[in-house]
Amino acid sequence: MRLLQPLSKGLALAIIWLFAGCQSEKSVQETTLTATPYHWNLPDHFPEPEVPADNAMTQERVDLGRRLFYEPLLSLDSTISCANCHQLPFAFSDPDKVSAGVHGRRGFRNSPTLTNIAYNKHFFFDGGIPSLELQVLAPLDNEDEMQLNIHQAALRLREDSTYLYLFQKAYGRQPDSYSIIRALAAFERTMISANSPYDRWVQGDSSALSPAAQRGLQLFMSEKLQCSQCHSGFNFTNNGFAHNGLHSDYSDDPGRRRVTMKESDIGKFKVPTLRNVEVSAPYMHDGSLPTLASVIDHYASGGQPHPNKSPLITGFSLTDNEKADLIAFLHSLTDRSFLSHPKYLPQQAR
Amino acid sequence: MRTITAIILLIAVATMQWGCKKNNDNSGTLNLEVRHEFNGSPFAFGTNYTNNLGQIYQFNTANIYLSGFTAKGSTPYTFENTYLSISPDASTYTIDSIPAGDYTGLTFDIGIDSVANHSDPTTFPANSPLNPAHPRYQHWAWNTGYIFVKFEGDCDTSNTGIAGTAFFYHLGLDQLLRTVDIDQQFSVDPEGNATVTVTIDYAKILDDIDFRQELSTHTMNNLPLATKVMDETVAAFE
Repeated sequence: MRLLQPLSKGLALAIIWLFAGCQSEKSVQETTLTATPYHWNLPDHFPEPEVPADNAMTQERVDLGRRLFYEPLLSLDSTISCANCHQLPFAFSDPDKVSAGVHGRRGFRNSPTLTNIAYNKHFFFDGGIPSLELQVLAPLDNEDEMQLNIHQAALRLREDSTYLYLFQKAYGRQPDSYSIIRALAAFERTMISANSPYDRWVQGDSSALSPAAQRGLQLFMSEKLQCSQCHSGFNFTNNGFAHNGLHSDYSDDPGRRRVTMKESDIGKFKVPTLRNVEVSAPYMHDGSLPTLASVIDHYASGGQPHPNKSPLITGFSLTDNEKADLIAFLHSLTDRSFLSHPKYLPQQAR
Repeated sequence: MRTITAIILLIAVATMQWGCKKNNDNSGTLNLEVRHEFNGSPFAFGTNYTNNLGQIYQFNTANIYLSGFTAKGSTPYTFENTYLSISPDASTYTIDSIPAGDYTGLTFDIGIDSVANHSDPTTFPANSPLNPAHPRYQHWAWNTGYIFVKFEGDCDTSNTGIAGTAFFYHLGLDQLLRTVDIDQQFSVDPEGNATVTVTIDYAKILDDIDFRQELSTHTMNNLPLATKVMDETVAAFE
């Protein structure tokens, strides 16, 4: 009996050793991994977004991503968070033509809206990034944005016991590049705007669109304007790339050619969603057009000559009333509930 | 009786523990020894060199990803998951374990195979050179893919004798993957070490480069220059 007790202790230790030995050191805290289901709550005319198998949506991941979205520690000098250039009142875009990064440095493109980013197929105006998770790596790495190696960002977060706890709960691991990019992508996938007057009209509320907006919708869909050729479907984008005749010289920014090296891609940029377009000014990849009226004027003019220009950009003429109607329709894509929803605001300090 | 059972169990457990550490007793380890040279002398960062066009330059970064290792011989052996980042800061690299036997040489690729090249970098083990945690991790975040080869430094573009203008050559893309073939006999004993030695002559890399015209490329913006520097990099391996 005397022998037995230490021996059974030894046996227990040995069994633990066996299980622990072949795998790398796994934290005991892993047991706190929690997966509270996330509910999309989408209207019928919105499909459920595709989500990567290794980043299933859970409330814990969304909550962590929301915290990280507002976290300036993710930038070199701890001054810039994602929310600096993606501000909720502007549908997660920036009213600045080109946003300021660390040390006030400027990049060369306008910060896009994150509205309905869960449905995007390519990321960045030139489409060089294939997933929302991998997109996170780019602004951190860019010296005109956050300029922080993501591993250094992870080391900073590991100093914070709250983050250690939240990462364990969400991903069963400590903060690292894997969990940071996934948490941010999970939060960004919740940025779904589906409650504009246009959406209520689609769902049968015939009073949701003003007569002017309804006339504007007719113009938007018309053969004369051809807007809906590219800005198509429930999210008002075909997820493609197009040359819209904005400039005749693209030597400053060749657009999609930057990643494909094809001459035929010079001046082509990703077609953006038009949802919340009223509040996401200025417009175009370089923020060169300040208002929706100036955007309509550009398309009405037929744009600048360029060999890659889309054949759809041929110009058209509109009366002042028609132009006002078209703008009224574009305004009907504004989702006020989205622009102030508490689930997108920074968490209260605990 | 229970004591004996316990002891047997302990031995069994210890054996299993041993078993999962050593997967094959008939294997040894293959290392890669890299001699970093400049025209036969040891290579150094921050030293002024002159290329065959008479232009002065110095390196401050020279990182090269290697992958796709295969030991040549009557029974070739391919290393499935070995990715190395080579730098003049280190000479000895572990390739991986290899079945004991006689081999005639080694082939490997400069760059990263297309599957790994377009993978999510955060899914590689934390100690892999392909993971962002590695000190020599190099990746185009804005166009998902690795920078196979990164040469950076300063050069003299105005004949002042001072290397004062920054140059950079960031080479990547699947189409620039290049194979190096080394003939070198080596034998691997069970649980032993074997080493293949290669020399990189950095003098060859920036020969024929006219810094006044060919100061930098991140490949996508100047594929001809990237191809030229990559071809010279291949020629630098001996």
